[in-house]
Formats: sequence, structure tokens, C-alpha cells
Amino acid sequence: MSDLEPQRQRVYTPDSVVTEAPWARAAIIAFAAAFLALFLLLPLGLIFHEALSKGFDAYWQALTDPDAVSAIRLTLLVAAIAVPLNLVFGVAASWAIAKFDFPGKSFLITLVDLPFSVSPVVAGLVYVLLFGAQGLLGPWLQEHNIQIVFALPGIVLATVFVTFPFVARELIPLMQEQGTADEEAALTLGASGLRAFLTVTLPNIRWALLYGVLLCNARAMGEFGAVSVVSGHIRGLTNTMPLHVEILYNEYNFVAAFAVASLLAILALVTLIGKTILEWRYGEAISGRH
Amino acid sequence: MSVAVAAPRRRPFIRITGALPGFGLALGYALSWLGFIVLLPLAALFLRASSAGVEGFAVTLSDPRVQHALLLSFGVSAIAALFATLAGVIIAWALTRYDFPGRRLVDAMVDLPFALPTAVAGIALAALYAPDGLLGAPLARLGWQVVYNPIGIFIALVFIGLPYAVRTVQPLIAEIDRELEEAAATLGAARWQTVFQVLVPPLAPAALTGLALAFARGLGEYGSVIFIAGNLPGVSEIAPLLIVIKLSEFDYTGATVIAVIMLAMAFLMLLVINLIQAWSRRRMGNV
Amino acid sequence: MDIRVTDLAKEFGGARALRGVSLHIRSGELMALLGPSGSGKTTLLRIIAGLERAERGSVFFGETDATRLSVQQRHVGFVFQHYALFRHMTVADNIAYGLRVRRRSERPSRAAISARVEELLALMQLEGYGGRHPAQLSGGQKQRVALARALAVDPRVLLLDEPFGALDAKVRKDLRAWLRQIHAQTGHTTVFVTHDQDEALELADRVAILNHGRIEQVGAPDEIHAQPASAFVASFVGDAARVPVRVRGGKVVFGEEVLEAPGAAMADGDGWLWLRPYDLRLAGEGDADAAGGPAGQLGGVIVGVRRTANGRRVEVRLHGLDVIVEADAPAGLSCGEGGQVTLAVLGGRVFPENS
Repeated sequence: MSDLEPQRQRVYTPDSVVTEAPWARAAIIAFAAAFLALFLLLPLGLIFHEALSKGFDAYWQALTDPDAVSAIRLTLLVAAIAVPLNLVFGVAASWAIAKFDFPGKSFLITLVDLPFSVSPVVAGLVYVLLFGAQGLLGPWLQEHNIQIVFALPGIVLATVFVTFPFVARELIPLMQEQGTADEEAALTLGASGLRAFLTVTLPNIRWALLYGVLLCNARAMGEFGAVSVVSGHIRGLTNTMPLHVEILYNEYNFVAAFAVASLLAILALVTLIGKTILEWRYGEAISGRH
Repeated sequence: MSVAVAAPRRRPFIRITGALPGFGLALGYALSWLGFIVLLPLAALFLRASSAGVEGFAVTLSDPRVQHALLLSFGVSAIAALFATLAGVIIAWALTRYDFPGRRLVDAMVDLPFALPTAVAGIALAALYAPDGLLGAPLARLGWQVVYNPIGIFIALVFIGLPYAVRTVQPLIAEIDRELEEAAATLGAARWQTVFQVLVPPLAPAALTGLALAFARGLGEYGSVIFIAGNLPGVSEIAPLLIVIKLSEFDYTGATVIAVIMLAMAFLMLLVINLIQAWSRRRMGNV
Repeated sequence: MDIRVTDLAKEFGGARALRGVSLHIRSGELMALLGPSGSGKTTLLRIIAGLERAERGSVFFGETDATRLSVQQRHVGFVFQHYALFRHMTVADNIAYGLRVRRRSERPSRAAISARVEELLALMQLEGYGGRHPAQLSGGQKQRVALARALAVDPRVLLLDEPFGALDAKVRKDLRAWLRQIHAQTGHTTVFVTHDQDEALELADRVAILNHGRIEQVGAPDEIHAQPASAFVASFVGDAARVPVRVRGGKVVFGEEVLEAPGAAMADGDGWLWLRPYDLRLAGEGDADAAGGPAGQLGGVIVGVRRTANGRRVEVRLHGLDVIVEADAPAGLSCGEGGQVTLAVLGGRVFPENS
């Protein structure tokens, strides 16, 4: 056959017949590595480099500055309120959505995911429009001397909004996959509904729950745009860590800005490590796939 | 004589077939919390927008500064999302199809923009690309200024959009059936033909989804952009920042108008994503 | 075009998939590669296709040494177990793919390609399905599209990997007859891999039996069944029971009985006598005529009677042994379970004990 004549044969013996040529492989890997190094690693490394550029003493001083300490406190406090609220919501919503059938379910799932599509700035704005002095409920709140915007409640509300879907979106697909058989078995064995939930459902979803809480917490502590709109930037009072970073940076106090930023970067790294460990060790328990 | 009329049996609106308890409590709680946190505030926004009326929209939108900010946000978000998607597909390909030292570490790093607070990313990028920064200085010598103009916004939005692009296509690349590549090879297709005609086209719906997600996220992004952008009105001022500025000027109507437009765009993206997925499910059996 | 492979060897991470396989597949032949999983049959097929590279040995298509040709250059038609249809393309685009990827100088015209597609759709009884997507097809239809796609390029040889493995029993049967028909029409040298002996014996002109990376026997289905070349073939193909025997001077000795079984082609020593149901004829107690067949006889107790599609089959436990053999029951069999019977041995094959 003509197309088999030896002079036209190109001989090559890669170890697998269906893969890219070695040079293409190397080029793709090099591109990926270079891109990620340039766009991700370099900015991350720079944070620590800048933070320590004037020595450790300056770094430590920036972190122990009273305004910085109060920003750290406020951030921890906000996360400590917002994360449990979303945890409870996430479990309740996914219990109803995953274990029962009712009309409008997929619409409800869309609504739960909605805050991810809203700009953080808009998320802050809607609370100002609702609770601010010029807002819908502003006059009433003022009458009763309740301060929401430019105070802790506003910051918490904005944080809850932007972290709203995290726990629920991890739990819903998992619990749908798990179905109701385990709980029904527990009920037939005489367990009460609450007991079935605590002893059967919770253990089944614990790693996914932890995963969701981890991501929720990272976002809650790091949220900037939404909190920025509702906080009022009152130093020592309504400044969270990200807001404090902004103020220090705009005052050209770069060492202090990057020092506080480095704490948040460490939080991000710890989150990534925890997330990765959870995915490696409990990937199936989180995704529900086997 | 009485005629017994069978009352029409009404099907309950919600039928609980199983024996599991807690439906009412869980759904009731979830709905009220959803209503309080998400729906009520969004309703306040739309109420405000409707009270602003056509006139309010017209006044705000006729301002060249607003026009420029919106166009800038849409334009740069779209370009950055496109770029992030192209890079993301290549990165996802490298991470799933090849084994190389440090692969798992690199894989974990992809999520950094998800985990790193936006303000932190913002100041890091700004310092990196500043005229005296690590990357900014060599670029400045080449005559390129990156900060305080749309290029800086582009860089920040690529950073933010990258994980969306990678993570949406990565599972599909992992699921590519080896038989498909072999089938194309037995049919005589060269490797590049196999890659571009057989392997990549099925990734398109996922890549488009990633693109839409990155675009939607970039449109609303604030923290990572404002430091590197420099926020010069009419040059590098993005729409979310303009909302903040309008608020600080107590121009609530202006802020609301911009917010509603951005929200509409975000919902449109959500719709587009759903359409893409429905289309690809119908066409290819799954997503 | 005939296919000749010689002395192929292949290892996967230390596991030896092929240990020196040589095989000649004649031009126009329909050959089955039959064996249990892990026997190397799929590896052999993939090496012929160029999807794997052998460490040793060569592959010839006709007079052409194809050993070092890439898969693209080998010009084979390959049908994959899970069809491997391109799901973003229509059925017609799938079938046309192998023609469209050709270099411009070798590519048929648009019109020629679509004519070829229509012709194949007709051959596969898939007229009107050209515009559909694979997701809209049933399993059997997908398999036919996969075959059409492989045939479109007019390949040198057609290779099928477990072509019916993913289909349900009914569809399998239909497709079998239909593949036979397609083969008769197109005349391609065809090799298919299967672990289903019925499929291999019913469909193929010749069957190659593989085990542990070696070819145990190559032959026509009748030959394989009637004259297994090894104990493995005897046990793998068809129903067979084995009885421990000794061979002395060409004669097969079972207890006190000396059987003149035809297949005692082994040196003296211990061995196994493999008996198929048709190697035995059953006679009831006192039914003296039937006893004493050409090769000797065995005594036993009936432990079970089964109804089969074509008659009745008895299971007999041989005296003094924990061995149950099966035989077809004659129409007038009077005794049931527990009855003493004599089995006339009409045939059988003897292989050494450790084969």
C-alpha cells in the first residue's frame, strides 16, 4: 500500500502513544508554573518581604500597636458571630433541601447561592439603604437609639451576607447524595429525630461541615468591600484587619500595612493547608463521591 | 334527601412522604434567615431604585464619570476573564494531565486568590507593580506603566478570576476518556488535531462557565483593584468604587443606580451560566 | 490483508502481559481473541493497533513491517469497548472524522465524504441518524456508529475490543449476527477480543485462546471445542469435568478401569481426564446394552437431574471420588436421584497433572 512505503514513515517511540510530545509537555508545564509563580507566589512572598523589611522589631511593633490590636479583636469577634450563624443556617437549609421534596427547591438553592453573585460593595450598600440614617428603617432605628450601620451589627450583617452560601453549598450536594436511608434506619431502631440527626447525620457530614466552616471563616475574616461600606472606618472601634491594612497603606505606613496583611496571609495559607488536607484525606466524605 | 358530595381531595402543597422530622423547623428557619439577610436588603435596594425612577437613572447615567466607570468595569472584567480562562485551561491541563515535581503544591496554590483577603492581594499587587516595585521597576524601564491605569485593574482581575477558570475545567479534564484520544489516533488524527478537535471542544461549556464566573466576580471586585488602579476618575475608576464614592457624598440615588446595573449584570451572568449548563447537558449528556 | 505477529512480549510495571506471542491472522478472516481477564488478549489487540508498544517482537500487515509505525500510520479501524464516540460531534461528523483529519492532498472532497457517511449510515441501518448527537443514541446504536467510524477510513484491518461487552444480552445477540453480516459484506480482516466463549465460538472463523500472556490454541471453533490442545482450553471452553487418572503405556487408568480414551497423548504418569457431557452416555442399572462403550465405563450415583433447553442433564458422582460429571440423559431414563448408573466413556482428553 502506497502510504506505507518506508521512506515516508516517521519513526517515533514515546512511552505512550497518546500524549503530547515532550517539548509540548515541557512548554505547558513551564507556562503553568511561570504564570502561577508570577501571579500568585510573587505577590504572596512580597507581603512577608515588605512586612519584615525594617526588621522584626518594626514588624512586632506594628502588630502590637493598639489600633492594630483592636482591629484584630474586632475581626475575631465578627468571625466568631458570623460563622456560627451561617453554620446553623447552612445545616438547617441543607436538611430541608436535601432530605425533603418540595416545590421551588431549585429556586431556593439559587437564592442561597445569590450572595456570591453580588458585589461586596453592593452587599454593604443594601444594608446602608436599609438601616442607615437615610435608609428605610433609619428613622425608626434612630428613634429607638439602635445603631446598626457604622457599628458592630452592620459589620456582622455584611459579613454574614458575603459568607452566606459557604456552609450550605458544601452540605447540600453531599446530603442529597447520602439520601435519607441512614436516618430512616435510625428512626426504625427507635431513635428520636433529634438523636438521629446528632448521631447519624452529623457524623456523616462532619468533614464537609468543617470544610465549609474553614472557607466561611477565611472569607469572614478577610472581607473588605462590604465591611468597608458599612463600617465607617472609626479607628479602634469599627476597623477590622483588612480595613486597618487599607488605612495604614494609604498613610504610606507600608511596613505596618504589610505586617497586618501578613497575619491575614498566614490565615489564608492555614486555610489552604487545612482545605488541602481535608481534600486529600476526606475527599470522598466531602464530595460524597466514591 | 341529602346528596353526599365528595369533597375534592386536596393535594397538600408540600407532601412529606418520609418519616424524617424537622422539615418545618429547618425550612422555616432557613427561609426567615434568608429573607432577613439576603432578600429584605436586596428588596430595599430595588425599592430605592424604583423611587429614584427613570429620571434618577437618567441623571446618574448621563454623568460621563459614571459611564466611564461602568464601561471600564465591564470591559476590563471581560478581557481579564477571557485571559484568565485561557491561562486557566492551560494550567488545569498541566495540573491534571502531567506529573511533575511539586504538582500537588501548585494545585493547592491555585486557590490562593479565594483564600487571600482582597485588600491584602490589592496592596501586594500594588507594591509589586509600583514604578519602584519588584516587577514595576523593570516594566517602567521598558516604558510600561502598569499601576494607576486599566492594565493594573486587568492584572488584579486576572489574579481574582484565575481559580474560577481553573477549577471549573479541571474536573472535566480529569475525566477525559483515554479511549477518545486513542480513537482519534486510530482514525489518523495527529496529536494537535486530537487535542483541538476531540479533547478541547467538550471543555467549552465548562470554560464558558468559568469565564462567566470570573467575569461576574471581576465586575464586582473592589479590594484587590482599588490599590493598584489609582482610581483616577475617567481613567481607572471602577464602578464598585464609584458606589463607595457616591455613598460618601450621600448621593444614595447615584449609588443605587450603579448597584442595580451591576446586580442586573450579575444576574444575567447567573442566567447565562445556567443556560450554558442546560445546553451542554442536552447536547452532551452531562456537564 | 493478513496480519502476522511474531514473538510479542509486553510488560506493565513488572506484570508480564504477553510472553512471546506469535499469531497469523489470514486475510479476510474473522478471528476472536478469547481468554480470561488478564490473559493479554486486549494487550495483543492494542499492540496490533499501535496503541501499545511491544518490548519485543514484530507486527506485519501483509508484507509491511508495521512494528515501528505510529498508530496513525497503521491505518487500522479500531472499535472501543465503550464506543469512544466524540460527544460534541454529530453522528455524521463522528463517522467523517477519520476522513476529515487527512492532509489536504489526501482528503476526499466534501461531497465524497458526505456520500461515504450516507453509505455507512445505510450499511449500519442508521439512516436519518446523521444529525443526532451520541447522547441521543442507545448503546447498540452507539456501537454501530463506532463501527461505521472505524470503517469509514477503509482500514487495512478492523480491530474490536470487547465490542459487545457494555451491551445487554438481547442487543448483544442481535449485534453478533449483524457483525457477521457486515464482515461478510465488507470482507475486512477482523480481530475481536472477547471473554465470552459463546460469542467467540459463534462468530469467529477461528479462535485464539490466550492465557497468562501466551496463546494456548488457535483453531476453528469446532476444533477448539472437540480437540482442546491444553487442560486450560478444555476447562475454559465449554462445560467439562475432570477426573484424576493415570496413564500407563498409552492407556488411561481410572481406579481398576482401563479406558481407551482417544486423547491420551502424554507420557506415563498422573493426569486429568477432561470429559464433556457428550463424551459420556448414560445407562441405568441393568441396562447392559448401553454399558461398555468404546473407551470403557465409569460407575456412579445420580446426585441431580436438571432440565435444560434441549433435554435433561444428570449430574453423577463417580464412585470412590468427590467428582461430579455431567451427561445428557436418554429420553427413557427411569431412575432419579440416588440411582446407580453406569457411564459409557465415548471420548475425552487427557492432559498431564500439572499442566
